Amino acid sequence: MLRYTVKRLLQLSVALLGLSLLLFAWFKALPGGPENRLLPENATDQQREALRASLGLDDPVWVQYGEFLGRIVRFDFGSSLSSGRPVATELADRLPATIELSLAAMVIAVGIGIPLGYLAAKRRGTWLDFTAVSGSLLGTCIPIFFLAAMLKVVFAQELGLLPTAFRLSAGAQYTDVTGLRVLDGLITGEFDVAWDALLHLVLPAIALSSIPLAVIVRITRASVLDVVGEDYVRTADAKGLKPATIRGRHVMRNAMLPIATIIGLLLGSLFAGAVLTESVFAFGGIGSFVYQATTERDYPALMGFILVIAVFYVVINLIVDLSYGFLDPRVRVRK
Amino acid sequence: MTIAKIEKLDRLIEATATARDAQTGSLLRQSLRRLRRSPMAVCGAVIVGVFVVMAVLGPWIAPYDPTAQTWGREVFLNRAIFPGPRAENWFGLDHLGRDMFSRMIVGARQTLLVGVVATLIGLLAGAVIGGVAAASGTFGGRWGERVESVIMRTVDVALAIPMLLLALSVAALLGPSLSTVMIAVGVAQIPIFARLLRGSMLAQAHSDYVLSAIALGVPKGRIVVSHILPNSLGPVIVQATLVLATAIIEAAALSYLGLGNPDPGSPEWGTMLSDAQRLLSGAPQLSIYPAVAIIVTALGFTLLGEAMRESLDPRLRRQE
Amino acid sequence: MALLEVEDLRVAFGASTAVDGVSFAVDEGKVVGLVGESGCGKSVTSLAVMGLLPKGRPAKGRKASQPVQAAASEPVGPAGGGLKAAAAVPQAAPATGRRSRRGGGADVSGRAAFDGVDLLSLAPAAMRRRRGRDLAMIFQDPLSSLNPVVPIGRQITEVLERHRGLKGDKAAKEAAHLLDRVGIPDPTRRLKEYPHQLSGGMRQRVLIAIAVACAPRLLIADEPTTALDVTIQAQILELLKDLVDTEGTALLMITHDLGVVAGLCDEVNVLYSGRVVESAPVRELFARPTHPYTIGLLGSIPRLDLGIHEPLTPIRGSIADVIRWKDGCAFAPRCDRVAEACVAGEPALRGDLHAHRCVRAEEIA
Repeated sequence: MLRYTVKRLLQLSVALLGLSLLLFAWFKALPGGPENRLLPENATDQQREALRASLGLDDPVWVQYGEFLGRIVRFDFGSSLSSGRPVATELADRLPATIELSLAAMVIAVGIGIPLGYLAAKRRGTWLDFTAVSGSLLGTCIPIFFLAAMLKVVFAQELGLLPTAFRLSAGAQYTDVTGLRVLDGLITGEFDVAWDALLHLVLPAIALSSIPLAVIVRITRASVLDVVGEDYVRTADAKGLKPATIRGRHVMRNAMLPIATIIGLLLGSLFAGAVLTESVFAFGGIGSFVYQATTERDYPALMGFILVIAVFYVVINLIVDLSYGFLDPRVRVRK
Repeated sequence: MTIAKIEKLDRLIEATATARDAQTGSLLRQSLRRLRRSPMAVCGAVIVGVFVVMAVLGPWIAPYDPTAQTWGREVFLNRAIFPGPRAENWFGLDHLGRDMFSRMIVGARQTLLVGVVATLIGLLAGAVIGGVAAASGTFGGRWGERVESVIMRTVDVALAIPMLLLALSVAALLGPSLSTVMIAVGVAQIPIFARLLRGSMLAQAHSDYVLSAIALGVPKGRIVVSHILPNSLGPVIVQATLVLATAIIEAAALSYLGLGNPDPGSPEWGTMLSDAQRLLSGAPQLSIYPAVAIIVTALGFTLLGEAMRESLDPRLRRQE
Repeated sequence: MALLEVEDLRVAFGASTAVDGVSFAVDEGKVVGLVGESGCGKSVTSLAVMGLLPKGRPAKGRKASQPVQAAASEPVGPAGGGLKAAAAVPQAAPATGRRSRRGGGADVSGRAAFDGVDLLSLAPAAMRRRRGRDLAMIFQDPLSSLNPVVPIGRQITEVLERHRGLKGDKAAKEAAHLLDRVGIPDPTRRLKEYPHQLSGGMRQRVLIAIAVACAPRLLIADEPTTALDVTIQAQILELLKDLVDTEGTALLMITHDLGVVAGLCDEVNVLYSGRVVESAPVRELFARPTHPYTIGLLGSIPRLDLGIHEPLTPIRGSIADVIRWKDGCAFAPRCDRVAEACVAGEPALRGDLHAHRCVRAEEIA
């Protein structure tokens, strides 16, 4: 298991290194060179020169890459063009909101998707199966920002059931612990804050969960169908085990292998989907920040975002790989 | 979403490679026959067919000029007055007093163009990269293996970047316009196609019929061109169909993020949808027409792609 | 009364019949063979007795919502296709298991009386209580028949827990004892291992340990040695023989290997196209095979006592060349001694101790 972990870690660091190369190339390829992109439009020639010098743009390329690498390792992405604050600080402030939103979406997707996919497989060919499959096909075809906006109009603006935007109601008193506000409210005992935060979370989380939900339903269905036809499930049946035992120990434990992989991959893409959802609900996470950065061509901010997301993605992949080792003994115990 | 599909396609590749050995000629015909019987495929084909007809004939079908602000005086933006469906404007007017119905019909062409161009960019670039990797890895000796390894590591890294981010970065380089959206979405698909084609070609390369061709002394170049490549295309075509759906949705998302050209000369659904978003509470119909059109079209391509995947998948066939 | 009495068992998958009226009996402590080519219905018979076939369901579930279903009958021609499909069903045992995923179930009729109780009409829950306890099964492919992500110890103890109420250390101890019993060295350590860490022969021993865990009165072994190396095959057969001799368990041995039959069985039933065509004590059968199919089977085995230039005599055609039993002998299209009488109606099973289903048996002999 240790060897497996180390091997995975090595592979991941190679991937990250490759990514930094890509990012560097991207950075160099920005039209007009980085200095034009890092400075406001009305910058003077002096500022330009100063920046060129400080960025070492006159050094050989590999020195520049070294510098670049050194800076991103220290999380120094420069200052945001729109706010003037360091990008790293901006991102750190907003990260918890995005994590909270993504986790909530994932909880919805997993909580509904796996049971629904299982039922669809078990009752293959029934109306339930048909509904689940067509629903999940449809789910992947709805533009997420449109879904978010429709949810907002219908449930928040027209019906007034849920708040339209932000993470808490205006004027709410709130103590920061982890930055995940529902969790914070529970930790500090401010249950009204937790409830308020939860209400604000519902619509964006539902919108964001649409694609992962659709994918999880289908992969669970396919995976369960595969496993149910396996010989070892018949063996379990031949042992006269109770249906619950067969389902839990023999069907689901095997069916979970591909599902776990997909969940990890989806978590990474959730952060990207959050860009669209958060901008609709002014959720104040990384997503809205990036939306702003994109519209204002705030390149330092964009670069920081891409890097942070990539690191997240890579870390999640590692966790998935390790959990895979945990779930599947064939991966874990290999001579 | 795309990655989930890749997993499935990987299985498909594996399975087709073994199945070809047994029944080379009849496979395609069999698949087509199965496709015709699948309600999924028929639904998808009908939707895609209507969409393509609209895209081709749009300007001749549309009752009015989609860009003319003929009814501009009847629309009041600040008071959110947008005349709805009526006899002369079936879908009502948009925020500039243009005929919504004509815009929807004419918009199909640009939307299809965005989807097709984006998919082609991803497909062609990905196919070249994946094809070179597989061919050099299989037949290029030790050096070829190194080339393959370098290419595929890079592809893996690119695959690790969420698609929207890749698209964002490309769009950042090129500035906002509809062609930016096409290139951005297309570039984001390159690693997916590259991995797919390589996997597919490798599975073919290790299959018995290729081994026997090698044993018979058929030149390597000819094996690649006339055996491996054509037989590897099935999963790639399936993926391309599925990617068309994704491309149309992603293009709409990029437009929404302000990377598309707002309100270009000829209408495009994604742009129309993102333009109408800020009017959503006052005039939801302006969003709903393009949104439903995008959803239905994407669904059409998805249904067709999934049905094709199922009909090609010998694992499913064997169960019969 | 015999321990297991199967009477007129019929199994159909949709329009195609896999088992077409099979009858046989297994006496307490006896080893009975069920022999035939792939596709003769022997595996389906055993699964039906165990109640492991997917239940037949109203046709509702197989409509347009399943595109794959529509093409299901495609490769089968319209006339006589039914039996062809039937023949294809049990070709590989997993194929029958996989049917469940399509919702297309098996229609089972007839009787399978175990100790006087008809297993086929038992409620699912009652049948579950018996499976693994009163009657147990050993499958063909030991790798795919063991759950890859559960330690083998757990796969044994779960049966002990379910049917014998053993838990924790007691169950583990008993599991180790069982592994020891089936000849696995260092059983306590092995309990924690996973199927992929064991060799093929070991896996089959584990499956046998699972099957005998609750000392069942009837053991059904479905080609238990087919997936194994020849040397391992002999060991596994030896083990089965030993278990049967010492525990007094009755064994229903499903096989296509007449060598296995000769070495292990007391009685043999030869199956062809879903029916018993010959049934006799093992010595009697080998000494005086009566049905041309049995003669053919014996003729296609290489024999050491004949010269090396003596050609083997294969049975021509394949099991797909078939006519329906009610029109005549299903083996007729492949039979060298076929005559008018063979296709003039349904041949009956004649004889008592040594029964056969050939109208020309007397002429042939």
